[in-house]
Amino acid sequence: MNKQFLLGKFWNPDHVMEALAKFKSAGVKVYDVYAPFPLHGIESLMDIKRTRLAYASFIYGIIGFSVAILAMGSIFGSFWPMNIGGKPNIPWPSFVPITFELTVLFAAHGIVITFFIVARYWPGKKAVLMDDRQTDDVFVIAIDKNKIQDIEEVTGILKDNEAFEISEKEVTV
Amino acid sequence: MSHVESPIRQKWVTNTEHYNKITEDIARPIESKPNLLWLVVTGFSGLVMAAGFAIIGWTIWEGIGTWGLNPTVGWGFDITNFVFWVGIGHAGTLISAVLLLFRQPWRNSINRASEAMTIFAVFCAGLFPVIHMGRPWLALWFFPLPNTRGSLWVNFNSPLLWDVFAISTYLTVSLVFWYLGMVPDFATLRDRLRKKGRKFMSSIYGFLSFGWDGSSRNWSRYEIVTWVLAGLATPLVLSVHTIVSMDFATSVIPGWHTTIFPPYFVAGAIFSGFGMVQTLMIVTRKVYKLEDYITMDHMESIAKIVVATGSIVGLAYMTEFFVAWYSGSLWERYIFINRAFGPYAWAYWIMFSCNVITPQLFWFRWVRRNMVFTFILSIFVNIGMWFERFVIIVTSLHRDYLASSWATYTPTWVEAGIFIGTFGLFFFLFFLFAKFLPVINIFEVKTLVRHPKKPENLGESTVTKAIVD
Amino acid sequence: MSRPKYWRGIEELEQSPEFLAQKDREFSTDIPMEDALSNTTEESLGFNANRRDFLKVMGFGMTAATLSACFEAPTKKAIPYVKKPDDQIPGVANYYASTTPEGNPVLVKTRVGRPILLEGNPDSYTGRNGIDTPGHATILGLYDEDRIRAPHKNANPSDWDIVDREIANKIAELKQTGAKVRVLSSSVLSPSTQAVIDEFLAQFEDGQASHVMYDAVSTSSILDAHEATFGQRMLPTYQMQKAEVIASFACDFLGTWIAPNEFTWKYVVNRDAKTGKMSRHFQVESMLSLTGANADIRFPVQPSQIGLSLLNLHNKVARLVGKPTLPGVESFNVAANGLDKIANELVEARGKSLVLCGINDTNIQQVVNAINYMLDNYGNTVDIDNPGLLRKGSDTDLATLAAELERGEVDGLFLYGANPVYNSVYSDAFKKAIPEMKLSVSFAHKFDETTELCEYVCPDHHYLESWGDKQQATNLYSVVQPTINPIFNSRQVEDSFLTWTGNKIDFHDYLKNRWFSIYEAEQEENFVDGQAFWDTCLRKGVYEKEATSGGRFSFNEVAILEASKGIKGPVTEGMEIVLYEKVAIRDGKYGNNPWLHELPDPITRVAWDNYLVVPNAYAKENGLKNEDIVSVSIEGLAEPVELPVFVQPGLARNTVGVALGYGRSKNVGRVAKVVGGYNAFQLLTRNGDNVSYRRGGVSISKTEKTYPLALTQTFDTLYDPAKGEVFGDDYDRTDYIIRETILPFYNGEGGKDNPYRENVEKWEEKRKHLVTLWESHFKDPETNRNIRWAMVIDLNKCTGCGACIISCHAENNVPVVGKKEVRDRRNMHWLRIDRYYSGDTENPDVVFQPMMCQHCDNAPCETVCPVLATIHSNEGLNQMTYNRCVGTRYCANNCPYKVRRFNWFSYYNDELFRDVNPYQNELGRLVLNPDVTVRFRGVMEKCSWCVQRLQEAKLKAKIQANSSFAKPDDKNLTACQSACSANAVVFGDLNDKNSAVSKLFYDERSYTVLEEVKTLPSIKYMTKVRNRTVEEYEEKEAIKKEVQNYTKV
Repeated sequence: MNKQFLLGKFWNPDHVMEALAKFKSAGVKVYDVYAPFPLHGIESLMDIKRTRLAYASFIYGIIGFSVAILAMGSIFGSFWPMNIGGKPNIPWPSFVPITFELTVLFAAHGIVITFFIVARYWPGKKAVLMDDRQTDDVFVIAIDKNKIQDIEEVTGILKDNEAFEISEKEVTV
Repeated sequence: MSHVESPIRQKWVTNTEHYNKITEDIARPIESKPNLLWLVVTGFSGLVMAAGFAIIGWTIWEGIGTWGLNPTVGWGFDITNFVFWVGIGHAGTLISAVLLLFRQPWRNSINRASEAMTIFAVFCAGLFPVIHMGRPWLALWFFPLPNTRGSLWVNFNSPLLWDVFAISTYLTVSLVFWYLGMVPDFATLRDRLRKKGRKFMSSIYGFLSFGWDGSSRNWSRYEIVTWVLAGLATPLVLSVHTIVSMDFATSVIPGWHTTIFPPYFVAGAIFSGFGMVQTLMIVTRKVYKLEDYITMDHMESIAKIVVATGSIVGLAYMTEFFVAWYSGSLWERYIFINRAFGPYAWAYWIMFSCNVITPQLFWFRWVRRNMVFTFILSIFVNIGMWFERFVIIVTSLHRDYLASSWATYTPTWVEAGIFIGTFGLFFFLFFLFAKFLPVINIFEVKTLVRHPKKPENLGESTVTKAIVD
Repeated sequence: MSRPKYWRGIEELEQSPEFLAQKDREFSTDIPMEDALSNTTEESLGFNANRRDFLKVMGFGMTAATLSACFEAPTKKAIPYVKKPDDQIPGVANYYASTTPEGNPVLVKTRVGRPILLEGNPDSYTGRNGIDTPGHATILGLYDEDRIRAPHKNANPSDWDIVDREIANKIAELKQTGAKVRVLSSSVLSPSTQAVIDEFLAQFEDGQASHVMYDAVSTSSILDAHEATFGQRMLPTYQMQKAEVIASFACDFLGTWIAPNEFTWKYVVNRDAKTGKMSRHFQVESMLSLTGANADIRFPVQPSQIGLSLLNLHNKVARLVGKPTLPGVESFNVAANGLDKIANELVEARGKSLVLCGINDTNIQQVVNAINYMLDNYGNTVDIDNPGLLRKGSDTDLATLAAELERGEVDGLFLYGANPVYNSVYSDAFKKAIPEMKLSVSFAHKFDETTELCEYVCPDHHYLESWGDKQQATNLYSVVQPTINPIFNSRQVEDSFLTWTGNKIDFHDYLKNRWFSIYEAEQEENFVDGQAFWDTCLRKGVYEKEATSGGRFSFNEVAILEASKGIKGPVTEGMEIVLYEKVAIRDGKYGNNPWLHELPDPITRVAWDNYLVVPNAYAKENGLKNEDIVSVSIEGLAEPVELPVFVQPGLARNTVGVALGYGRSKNVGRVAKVVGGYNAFQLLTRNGDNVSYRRGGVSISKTEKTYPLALTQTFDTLYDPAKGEVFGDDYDRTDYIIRETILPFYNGEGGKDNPYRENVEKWEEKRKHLVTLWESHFKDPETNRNIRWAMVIDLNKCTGCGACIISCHAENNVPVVGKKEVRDRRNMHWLRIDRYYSGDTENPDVVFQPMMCQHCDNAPCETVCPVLATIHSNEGLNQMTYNRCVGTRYCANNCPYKVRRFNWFSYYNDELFRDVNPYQNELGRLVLNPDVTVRFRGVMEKCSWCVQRLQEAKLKAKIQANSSFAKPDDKNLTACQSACSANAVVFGDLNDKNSAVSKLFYDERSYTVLEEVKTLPSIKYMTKVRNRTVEEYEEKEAIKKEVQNYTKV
């Protein structure tokens, strides 16, 4: 669906942060900020909840761990018990390395895949661009036009914080 | 972020005030036409690689008999090269993961290239476990796949099997980590190239960039993911060489059967890896004029790690000798005496001098900051670490228990050819990488810039105009 | 009568006009050909069929048919028996008794009509425990693709009729001319064959024709000596089992001399340390022979001094027993007082001692007889009442023949098992004479050096294709019976002779008749008739009578005096060379047999070549090292000989040696061609009529050239002098591998001097407190009904002859890999015999240790195999699954015993090994054991303890006992066990408390190699016990210490 955005473009991340602080106190809801690199501390200014991806990863790890243990245990324990070098049929110490590796494998790949799903990025996706330099050296604060009560205040804040351009754009999101 | 930095903090990016300049500098080689030098070196390494694969083909056609091995010395160049390349691989992940966890900002400019190095090295390494098999076409049997031959499974006791899991996990996780890091840079390239009107390239990078748009919400997720991956990769990188070392440590052969191996191998791996990083970085920063991003300080801190790990390795060598004597096991003692004074003493002393003695020069600041010296020393490190593996494998095997089967091992041209071939493969891939991918992590370097200047090509603030239109 | 007329239908019956119109037409209705070919109708082919179209279509059709027919479909012929022969059960082997040309009674294992393995005939006296090393390999000779496949005339294939006719004519001619006719053969062991030959010769006038026998490596002197001293030309039967003291002078009776396998078991019987009844064995020799390696006390002596030492021994013994001594004997002694020691002990054991001499010199042999006579050994340890018949060759006859040849008197020569051009001292005479003869016939299997020159070649059967008999001694007979149809168009030599004699009977009947006559002669009352007697003998393979005794022979004192004068004194100056036989190759008769060439010489451990063995001291002085080529010039030899050097400890000073049997002609076969080497027979000399295998006046000069030798063991001890300098004797770790003691210690009363007895107690004590990470998979023997295979190898009995290796070769289809691979240490033998030296290089102690897969309970190889290609069976076998193996070689690396063998190439079809590997040709493949896989390239292999034989034995036992818990008896289970003439290998079920193996397994002498690695092998070795006095032991120890100190300084 199409949305009408008011864009404030900056060249200095510091200005962006200050502007965001102002918006927060003024209670203006910022749709998103587009930046060429992560702006630390932006989460609090934009009230972004801390992601739970880490927990997901932990669960994937647990899965990997149990897959390894169950597979090896059942293969050596019941499917195909063998006398290998006089060792017992279920030699737990021998299982450690593979168990560890599988745990890591599941956890690592799990979290990355989940990330792309959550972030709605996928191969060949058409990127949403407020400004074609936002991946280079321009920082864009995007505000949903329809949600703005007082347009003057918003532009004022942007202007005060040295936005070098304030414009509108209709974007499909 | 500049506003939280203290001014006394070390500058890791020199004379760069514009974010745009960073993008320019790093994207330049990708956007410009390949120059002659690149074509020559890439072509050459490509040829070497092709030759290497041809020789591998010959081995598979005729049999392992074309190598210099015998029942006493069952492993020679093959496993030596395997361990060598895996070792090289370790620096990349270490830099990108461990240094990230330790918040070492200087990693930002070298992690991309060294991760690439890791992956290509692991490619080379992965070759050997396969081609060293008598029947490589059955390599699939290494995986515990349900099958129709009755219930026929793999041996989870075998360190070689652990290797299979360790290497494959390591390779895939490193790949993912590497790729994830490149996604935002792909986006950058995508947009630059579109503006320059190079539709095709742009679309390729666009595809690879997964539609990255730099939204802060995803940036924050992105960072968490990076951290978690780093947290997973760190034990992984340690585990891989630990497991590789178990190929030897779990055996009964004197000289292999030692508990010191895991830490010793890991240290050695990091050591060799950083040696290779030095070699590559010195070349890259010179050729691509990236001295501003890979500064003298970077090279110096790498050198510091090299001397540190080198000393650990040296300590390990001496510990081995002490333990061999202290154990009272004659076999153990003999093996080590034989290492240092036996038929392969020359290999041992090459190893010792290259790994323990020469790196000590890095204690001097001027050596660390002299790129010619550093380059030479880094080559020594590579040589020394290759010989370390050779010494461990061959000298332990060639005179183990029964004197009746003591033998010597001399490699044939086939083995040498394959080894050289892997260097071809490695550099071929690395040159491709250097041409088509950003050799430095663009967005991470940007975070290192303090007090950015206002870009020239921005118009005055155009508020009213925007509103009116 | 008129036949009824049949009508086809109503129409015909009625003869309707339509029918009449139609009846001559083949098709009652029109075939719509036109419509079909024109495009008038719906379903027409749509073209007007004119001649051209038709031809086109036909042409296409024919071409297509032709082309499709061009593909040659593989045709596989499998013709089942219409009626199954009773004795042919697919998958079950048949055994037939036969005898090797050397006179070893054997059992031939055949599968679906092809012999695949030889084993000693347990019913026989001589071959009861196995056959000698080359004997095992003779089976491969049967499938030798280089055998002569048809009768030849002037080297062109011919036809038996033609050959027979022509030869018959020529014989007639010869009869007229009265020119001399000779049959030249090696010792003919078969009385029947002898009879046939005599019959053949009888058709000539008296004196015209005669039969000459000679042996490539001659023992003629022994027979001649007995003629001189006892008035009858004979070879005594030696009874080592009765001897308490054996003094052997340059006689390799365990390795190569006359009947090694027989002597081996006789010798070993009385080497049992347990009973304390252990013979004492002195060896005085120049080379380090297999026998010398097994001797208790060994004295290296120059070849030329052996005669003298025997003379001195004679006199010392004479003094002790108060008999006249020989005058004018230059006094001489070995190693200070060696001969006195020997003399004393011989006399002490009077009547139970034995003096042997391997030197082919009638005078010396007479002295030996004299000594044995003085010691009352005749009738006890030296049996001339039942003389042996294994050797009949006479140097004198050969000399006479040679003279006749020189004079060109011989016009007809028949060569049977003789190759004088290659291996006789009169080589040139034969070379010159044979082409000029009217009639020269060879019965050889190969175009060997002599056969090349012969006009006619009438190839004999291989012995596995022929009928016959052998007589090992006057009281021992054995039969030869065919086990396969003749492979080529060959004919038994006896049949040839019979034909040319004009005797129509075929040899089989001839043979039977002779055995009937034996039956008559012996009045065997426990057989109803001759046929029954013959059948039984045929089944058993042997007919043996009690040895008679009591015949007394008068000893000729005078002859001795003469003889003693004939013995030359020592050659003081200059080197001497000894021409010796290798255990495997011997006189080179089997020069085309790759198994024998691949077998490393037990002493030098070199395969595939002969070389000049040189004493260490000399090598050190003259800077010679292995593989240097030296040029050896010898007095009386035209031009010097170039030979590669092998430095050999234990040689007498100033003595070098070179092995006989190499340098065969290229036509002998592709293997012989590959081997090459130098024919040392060219160095033979004559001493009187005796052929002499020693020469003086040797001088050696080093050349710059080198020649690669296929050396399979480069280290003779774990004591590495180079390292000794640093850490001293610490580095002698041999105790972990080899254990030896001496008889006095071992039998110290209460075992107080026996370190091993204490070890056992200590070990039992230790075992109580042993902590292990996990339970053993093998339950307590008492409660365990399963079989638990185990092996014990007695180092005291093993002589190192290597018969087991050849047997293993045959049983397990081990590939032959050729010189280059062996040199790269890639020989595929599943079983090798390690040889270790200790002490000084002048006169080292030697130990042989058979080393094969130890089938460890905690097998290191199993743990590391990623694909579980090697796992443990519940009977304690370490099993190798070839199909599963991917060839990482990790198991081999992790094997402390280094017994695993890797298929570096595909030996079974790689061109590189075409010449050496018999399994690559149609014929050689027939020797493969169908029970054992031929391994693929890239696969690991190793000793399987002949699991196929174990399975077979288990099944047999279960069927016989009709119980699923029946266990096989522990006879002849593994190939090595059945091959061992010394019974050094004991194999069986460890869980069976009464089995031989379980008794020995926990014997005090048993130990495992590398115990501290805790692989828990299922093979134990038994400590070697040398019969030495404490003093002798201390001497040796002093020398050893000296050696080590020397290297430390």
